[in-house]
Amino acid sequence: MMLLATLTWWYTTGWAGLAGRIGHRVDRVMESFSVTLLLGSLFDPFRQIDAGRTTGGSFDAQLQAFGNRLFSRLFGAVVRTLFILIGIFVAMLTAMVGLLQLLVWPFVPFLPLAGIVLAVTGVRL
Amino acid sequence: MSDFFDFDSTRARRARAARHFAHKDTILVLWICGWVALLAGPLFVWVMATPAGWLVMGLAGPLWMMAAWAQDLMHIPPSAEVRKIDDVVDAEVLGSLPREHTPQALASLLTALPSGKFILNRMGLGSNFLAPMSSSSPADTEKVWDEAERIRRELGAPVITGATLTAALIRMMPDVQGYLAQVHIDTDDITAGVAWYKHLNDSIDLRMKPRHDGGIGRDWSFGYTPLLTRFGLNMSQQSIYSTLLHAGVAERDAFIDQISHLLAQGGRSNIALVGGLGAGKTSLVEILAKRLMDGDPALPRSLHYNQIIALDPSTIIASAKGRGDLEQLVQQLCYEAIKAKNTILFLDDAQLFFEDGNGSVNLSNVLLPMLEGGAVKLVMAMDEQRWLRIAQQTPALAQYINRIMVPPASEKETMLLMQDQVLVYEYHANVTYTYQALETTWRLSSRYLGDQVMPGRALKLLESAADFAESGLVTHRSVERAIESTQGIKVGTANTTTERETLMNLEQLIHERMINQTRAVQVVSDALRRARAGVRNVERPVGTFLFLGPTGVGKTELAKSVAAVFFGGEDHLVRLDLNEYVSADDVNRLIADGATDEHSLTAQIARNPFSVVLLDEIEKAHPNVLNTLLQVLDEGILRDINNRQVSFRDAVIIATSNAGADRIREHIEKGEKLEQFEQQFTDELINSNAFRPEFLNRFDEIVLFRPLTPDELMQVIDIILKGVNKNLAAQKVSVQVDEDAKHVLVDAGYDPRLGARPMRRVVQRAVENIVANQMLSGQAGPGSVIHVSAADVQQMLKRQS
Repeated sequence: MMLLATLTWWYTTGWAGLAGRIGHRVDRVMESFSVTLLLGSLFDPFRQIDAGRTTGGSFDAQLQAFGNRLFSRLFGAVVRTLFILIGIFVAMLTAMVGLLQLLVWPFVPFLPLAGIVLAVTGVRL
Repeated sequence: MSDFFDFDSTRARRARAARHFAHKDTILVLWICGWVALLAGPLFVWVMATPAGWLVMGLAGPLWMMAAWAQDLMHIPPSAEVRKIDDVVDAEVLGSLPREHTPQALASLLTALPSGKFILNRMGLGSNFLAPMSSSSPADTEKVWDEAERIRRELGAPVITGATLTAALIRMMPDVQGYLAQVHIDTDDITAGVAWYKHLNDSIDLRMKPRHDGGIGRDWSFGYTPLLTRFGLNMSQQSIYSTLLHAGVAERDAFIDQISHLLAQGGRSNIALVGGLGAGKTSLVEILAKRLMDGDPALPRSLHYNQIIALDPSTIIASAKGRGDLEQLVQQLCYEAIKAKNTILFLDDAQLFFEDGNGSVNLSNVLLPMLEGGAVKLVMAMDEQRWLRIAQQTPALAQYINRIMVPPASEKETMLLMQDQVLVYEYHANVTYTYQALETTWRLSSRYLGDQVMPGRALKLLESAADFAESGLVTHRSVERAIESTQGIKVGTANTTTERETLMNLEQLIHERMINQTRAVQVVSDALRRARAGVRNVERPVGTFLFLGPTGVGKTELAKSVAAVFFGGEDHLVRLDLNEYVSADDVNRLIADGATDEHSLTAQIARNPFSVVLLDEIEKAHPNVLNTLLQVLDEGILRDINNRQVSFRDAVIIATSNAGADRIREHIEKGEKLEQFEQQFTDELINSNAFRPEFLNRFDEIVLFRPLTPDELMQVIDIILKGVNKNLAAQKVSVQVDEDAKHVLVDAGYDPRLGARPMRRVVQRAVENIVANQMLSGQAGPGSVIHVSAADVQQMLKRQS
């Protein structure tokens, strides 16, 4: 009775629960690498260095400020893109490991049977 | 199968299994064993060259399945549809329930469960209370479950916990109110205890939730803030490690919504939180900082991960050489906050930035342009008086700032905030607070701690009560002792035999000090007995009396007697001669700050709330002074010059007046008794404009004192002589005055206009001088009894005149 209940749970709620946990894990990875935040602020000046507006001043000074701002934004975009890519990569890795877990899950109850078959057939390494 | 409980339901079976397997350690061991089996099996096959190792590997499957299953059993949610109680009972209880059970069996079960113990311990009932008091009839079981379900629905709880079931059992006990009354609670308090348990679980769940801190790149779009880090306190950073618990106190959440809405709306994001000390202004900002750092979806997205930095005025002032430097520094700090784009500045005690003084400096000329421009996000906190003062001095400030009033927390809010905070205090002091301790804290702090408002004052008292815990338990008595120790006041109810005897014999004890005036003594005694027994309106003073009568008939003496007998000493008498309060400005003297005038009425009562307040010659006070005093008579509360509330609800207020003294004498001389002309006399006072009717109506009793008769004056002489002998006791000398000598003293000391007042002077002049002469001349020494005859008195009085 208990075996049946456990098996029923394993292939229904248990399997669905694992899928949910894997989803959460991927979400956490994405959040740890701030993927959504970085995407939303991809071209913002990096740490607001040289990001201030200049009013007045000579043409040269304004041009230099514009250049600085442009550099800050470009630098920010590069760093952010790099981290977004790393984040997505790690998230994909997590998802793949999760997928593997999901695929292995239905076969776990058969492990004792597999052990018996291997033992009886005398498979050696 | 019973109609209300399905022992064999899936949920019940899962709960029973959870009881055995759903433990973190068990799950960990199962996972490890699974991995060991998976790896050791093939290794065994390879090293030992035997296929039996595959059997070991096969064990990994069941071990992992059990681990995953046990992990899932850690959380068993209630069923979507409630048909029987097993659909909605918390797994902790459900897993322990036998198929058939009586209320008594349930009680035994609950006494061992943490949730059941919570109610029993917090309510001060003890573990031996529940089972013996519960019914042993199986027929009553369903009623208990019905009651538990009713409580669950009433509280909007998702499950019936052990606390709910314990409360249901208690509520179903016959004649339970009597038992509960002995521990100072009732059945509603038991339900409140269940709500407390639920609130604690909600708080812990909230704290255990994973944080959404934004990740590694959270601050990359925001600027560095080195200056602000140096001159401020990053509340957001602190909130990560803070022990602050907050599980949705709706009224407080509304303030946070309002603050965040104003900060996010653009334009001038300047906010002043205005409220009394202890109203929770800083806590609101702390909670906001925590929620912003957690990316709370309920808050505007534009504010997510904004940091709140509290500027430290002392560090700022100390680091600047002159005013110019200081202004420049503050300007730089503001610009840094603006440029960082994620910084909200917080000025706690904001008056320090807008007023020149000790440790404060007026920087309004620097801050005002910033506030006007609206580029900087600024939250400040201050009390209402200071806000009004600053707004008066710098009207532009009020124009640029959105004011949010933070009123004192209500009783319900304060109870919830105390319940949150208790966990922290318990952890630090290793004690357990009872529900009665929390209720008593609310009651006593709202009455006696006038220097703060709720919830600050309650939390302050609650924390200090931990030092008075007995056997690790903080009870209502611990709270009483804490306030008695810190405020020097007595707050317990009449509970000792001696005190009860004093109350029962008040009249007799008072009459040991004063003669006759039986009606006045009785009226006052009755009021005091009602107060000490708890039968009175607690929102007013213990008693308010207007004593009317001629001079020297015992009005002041009765006030002194009440102070001595009821409050334990004449030092509990606060006496104000209202003929010194005849101008409108004198109101300020009544309510002066204790730091500048320790003899003001408010200062004296704040120090010693259990006092007799004697307002002598009340008819002479200025109408403004009278109006101020009317508030005391009505509400038992007076606010001092700093707007701090001082409670007079434990004081006895006695006003005296000689108004109409001649009319009283006339009535008495006609042979009328006081009771016969009381009402007529009061009407005469109103008609003659001596007192306004609304003033007289404020008193609990108007007590008439009649003139003393010569016979009564003889008794007054005895009391005075008793005092003389008491003074002489140290010299081992006593004095005996002959009866005819007493008559001589009465004749000399009696004045129909001044009553018994000249009597003490006459005794001093005559008897005390005779004693002094005899002692100095050596005629009397230790062990002597000095006899005073009529001739001695006459001779002495003659010599004196």
